[in-house]
Amino acid sequence: MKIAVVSESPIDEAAIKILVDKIVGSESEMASLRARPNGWAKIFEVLPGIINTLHYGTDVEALVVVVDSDESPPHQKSHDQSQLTNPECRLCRLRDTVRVVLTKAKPMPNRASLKTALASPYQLLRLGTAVALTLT
Amino acid sequence: MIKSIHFRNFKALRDATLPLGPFTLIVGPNGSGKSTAMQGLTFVRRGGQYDFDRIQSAGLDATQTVEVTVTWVEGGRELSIGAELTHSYDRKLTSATRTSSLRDDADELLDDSLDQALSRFRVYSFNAEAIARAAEINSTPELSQDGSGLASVLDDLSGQEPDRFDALNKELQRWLPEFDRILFETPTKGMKAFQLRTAVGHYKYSAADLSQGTLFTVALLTLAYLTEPPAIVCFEEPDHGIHPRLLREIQEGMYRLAFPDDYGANRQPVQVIATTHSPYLLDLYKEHPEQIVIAEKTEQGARFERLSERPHIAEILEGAPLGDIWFSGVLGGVPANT
Repeated sequence: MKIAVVSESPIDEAAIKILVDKIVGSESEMASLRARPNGWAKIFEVLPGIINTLHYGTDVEALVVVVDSDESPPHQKSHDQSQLTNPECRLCRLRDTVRVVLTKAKPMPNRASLKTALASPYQLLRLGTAVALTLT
Repeated sequence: MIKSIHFRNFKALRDATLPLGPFTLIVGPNGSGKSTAMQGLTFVRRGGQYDFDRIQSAGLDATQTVEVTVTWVEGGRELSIGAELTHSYDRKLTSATRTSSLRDDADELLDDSLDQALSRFRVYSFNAEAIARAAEINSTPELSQDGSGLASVLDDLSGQEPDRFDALNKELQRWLPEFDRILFETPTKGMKAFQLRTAVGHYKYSAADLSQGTLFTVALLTLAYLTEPPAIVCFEEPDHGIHPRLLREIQEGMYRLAFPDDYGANRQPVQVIATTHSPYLLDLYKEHPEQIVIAEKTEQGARFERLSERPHIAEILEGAPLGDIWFSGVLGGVPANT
């Protein structure tokens, strides 16, 4: 499977590759795309162009986007209902951005719609602290 | 104008065509053939001897010839002129053989035009120390590849074309508002050096005391104001050492050379080819994908593609700055992932 990955660091990419290969069940062919140094904000700026390039000009089948959540509010299950989408939640924003671009994209002959996997994970340390606090 | 250059077995360019326009900005990773392409023009120019082993792409046998073909277009007609280098078992250095698609007298005229343009082709890769150096005064001063000779060129312009020199000073004030005038000093007899005068206080700064970015800016601006600049100019990383806020001026300087009518300059257009690694410079060309060429390294050798020829380029460029999209790697022309 041909996959493009957009993330904020090469370390993320290495981890994503392992995860994707496990999920897909085979060694994927992965193109790593990078945002100009400015973190998550740049990724949101450049994402429409990336999606359009992949859709119109390549045979890449899936796009994985991972954006750090930093101090943004964590994604809640309730956000998944369209009317409760939180604009501050980066996962919600990612989903919105991708949905808008893919909805506008013209269908291409012999090409299925680009599959996407989006994530905005919390730092492990914060997650660990949250878990520890919950446990206590 | 050169419409394209085709390379075969020429260093990193095993089989590649570089499309060119009045202005072309080539972006790509190191080693993607940007500078090699410029050497190709020198190769096609008559004369010169070459070490076949150093020119031929690596890994080929000696029977594979090296070819560079330039396609020139003028008045709706096209002519291809090339140079071909074959291996010699007798000599280390060999001359390239001229090839051409000449058919009639009209082609002869095109051939002359191309020859003249190639003889007036210059590659500029500026060096601050060279630009600042005092230059010998002579009747035909010329800006060298590294920018040396600038003082002499400016001195000649101030004497021969005072109006043009004044216009250059005015533009300099716009680009670098801290300065208002180019002045000269004579360090030794027959030599000239230039200075910049500050707008406030009229202090004089010798070229040797100016920053690299300031010197590069003055050199590029000077070229744009010459009465007879070279016919074809290549700038290797014109943004090098320049503050990102000055990049629009650098773009303007290159456009002034390429599109003189748009600036009210009464002279022939210069065909400009520039290379860059700067997403900031690239940002300025979003409205002109036809001026951008992406250079890409592949296993089969380097190759070039004009950005405007990408399918659905309007949709691709929608929303995000061009520099960002290029930097992401999705357009190609970036270093391989590490």
